[in-house]
Amino acid sequence: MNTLIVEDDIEIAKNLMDGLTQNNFICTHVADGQLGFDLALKNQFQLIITDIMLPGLDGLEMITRLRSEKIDTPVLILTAKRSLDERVLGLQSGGDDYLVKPFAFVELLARAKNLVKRYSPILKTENTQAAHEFKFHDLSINLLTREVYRNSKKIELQAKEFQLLDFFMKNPNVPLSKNQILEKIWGYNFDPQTNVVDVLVYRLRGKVDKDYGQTYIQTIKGIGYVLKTE
Amino acid sequence: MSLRLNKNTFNKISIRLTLGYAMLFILSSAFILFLNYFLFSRSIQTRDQNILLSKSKEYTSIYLKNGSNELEKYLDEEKQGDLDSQYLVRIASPDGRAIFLRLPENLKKNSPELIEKKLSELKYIKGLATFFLKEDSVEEPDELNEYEVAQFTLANGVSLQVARNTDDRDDVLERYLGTILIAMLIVLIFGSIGGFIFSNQALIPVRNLIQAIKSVRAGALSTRVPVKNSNDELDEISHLFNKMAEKIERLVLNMQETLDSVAHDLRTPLTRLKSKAELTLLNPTATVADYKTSLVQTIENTSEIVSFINTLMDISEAEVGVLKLNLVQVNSTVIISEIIDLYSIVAEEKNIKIEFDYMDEFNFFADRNRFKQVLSNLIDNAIKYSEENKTVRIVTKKNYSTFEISVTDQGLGINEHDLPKIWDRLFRSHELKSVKGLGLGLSLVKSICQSHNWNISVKSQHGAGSEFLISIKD
Repeated sequence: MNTLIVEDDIEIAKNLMDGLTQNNFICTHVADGQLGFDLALKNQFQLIITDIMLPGLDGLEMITRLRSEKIDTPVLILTAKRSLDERVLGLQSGGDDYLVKPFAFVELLARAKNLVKRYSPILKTENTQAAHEFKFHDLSINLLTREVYRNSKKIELQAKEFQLLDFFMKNPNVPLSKNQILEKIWGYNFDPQTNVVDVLVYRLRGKVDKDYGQTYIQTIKGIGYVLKTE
Repeated sequence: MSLRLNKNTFNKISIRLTLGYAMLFILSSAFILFLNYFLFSRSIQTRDQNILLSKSKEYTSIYLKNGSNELEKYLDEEKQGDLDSQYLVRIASPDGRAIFLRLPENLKKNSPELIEKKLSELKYIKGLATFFLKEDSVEEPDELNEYEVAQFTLANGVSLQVARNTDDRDDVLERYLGTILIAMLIVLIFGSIGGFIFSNQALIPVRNLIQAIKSVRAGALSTRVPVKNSNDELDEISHLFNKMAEKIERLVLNMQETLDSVAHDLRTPLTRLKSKAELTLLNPTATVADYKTSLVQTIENTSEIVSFINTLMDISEAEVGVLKLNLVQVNSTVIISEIIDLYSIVAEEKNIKIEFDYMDEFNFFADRNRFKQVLSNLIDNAIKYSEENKTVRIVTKKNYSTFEISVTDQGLGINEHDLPKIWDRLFRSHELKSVKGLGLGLSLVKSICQSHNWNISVKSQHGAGSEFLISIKD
């Protein structure tokens, strides 16, 4: 996945590149908007991650110009400005998604992957298969029948617990932050300063992991939770 | 230097006003006085002329009845009675020759021929004309005096002329003019003084305003100007200035408070993460697990800092009135249910029951996210400060044209002393120091409510519980 990173803070850029490279992204980095525009015009990128406040050409202007040149590479905007107006402006200029700094890396990763998938014709066709049953080792979930089995044993889950398991099963081995879970299951996009996610994960674990030996739902301290084998 | 400049600028306006006012005053007085003089002068002139005409008729009738001798006698008698009012009397034959001439005392020096010449050459308009003669005057022997003459012509062609000098009249008019000029002078003086006083009076509010603005610029933000409530334009400016100064003061204080909060409360999480990182690095026996712990705590603390900054900025924006609200119509039952949905799990952990009594259901305008922040905060507090097995009750009720949402708990309650302070930023009652939280919650709640023009109040009893009430006007 060919990615262009346009960011003038060297440390942030480096961290971003390290993280993305670890996740099979191929990254190119420039520190100003004009260079970003030039490169995006000349090369075929599958994703552009850009800051707004840039020297030379600012981020929004760069996106606007790229769009007017018919470059429709998906763009993820990173910015320190958190107002709704800024977000709207960013999307209106042609951006596809928006993250406010400081952001959780796992969220950026999730959104980046999403954007690439959405706009990539090849990966799109892969997705059209019927997806109502998911398996993770001996754990299975059926979205139509609402049945959950581990080791052939049926597990009864409450509504929210089911939704959480569904989220995990659709993202195996991908760390999910508390905010992502909050947004996915309750639709909250601000931090309500409560440990509800911890509680729900604890309950889910109680039903899905506790009596089964291997713990699939694991905690990564400081990051979130992940469905993976030990 | 600047003081003089300012005084000069000020004086220019007041002097302009003074001059303008004085000019107007003086010109209109001048107009009136001179009109008066003119009319008066015309009037006494007319009076004199009428006297001449009636005299000429009088002498004519005496002459006709009794002849020129009688007329002489009559004129002598008149002279005895009033030396000053002597008339020049001449009677002429139809062909213009004088057949009777009587000169006043002071004209005796003039030759009859001269007088004859002058009188015969006159052009009469409506029986009146003027000519000039020299009088026997010691002071001004060469001065020409003006004489007014009236002519009366008989049917048989004989004409009678009666003339008199205009000295009396001229004296009166001269004195009158003198009086007028003195009056004008007084008007000029009083006009100028009056104008100066009036304009200075009027500009006092401006002077006050200039002083106040200088004062505010120098940093005295609580300066205000006196307001008379007279509803005139300068009073309105003073009023508006005060309002503006108040807003500036509020903004600056708000900014100072925010900066104070930031400085003070960021230091705690920053100190925590810094000290943990330092200690880990300094620890010679630190393990990978220790490093991990340090990093995890760094993330947790920085999240706390970010959250704090965001909330503080929200409060700040709301308090100065620049918080952007994305207003949409929401249904009370739907939106509150969503929020309860989030907290029900947490409440269950403490075996706390959340009751939602939607006595009345209503639609109202709100920013979805902000409203959720408010109610989340209240419910979270209710759960946090309640013991196990208690109940938290949320009620939506309609009270005439007001919608009421109340969140009641059976928790710790707030003591009377702290009650008014709970809305302050960073206020945490001493008892709650151990409970996790930043202390910004209620401050944000209040700011958001104010931005929406909602009223929020609290009733509480220490040890028994609290009730928070949001009132939304329809």
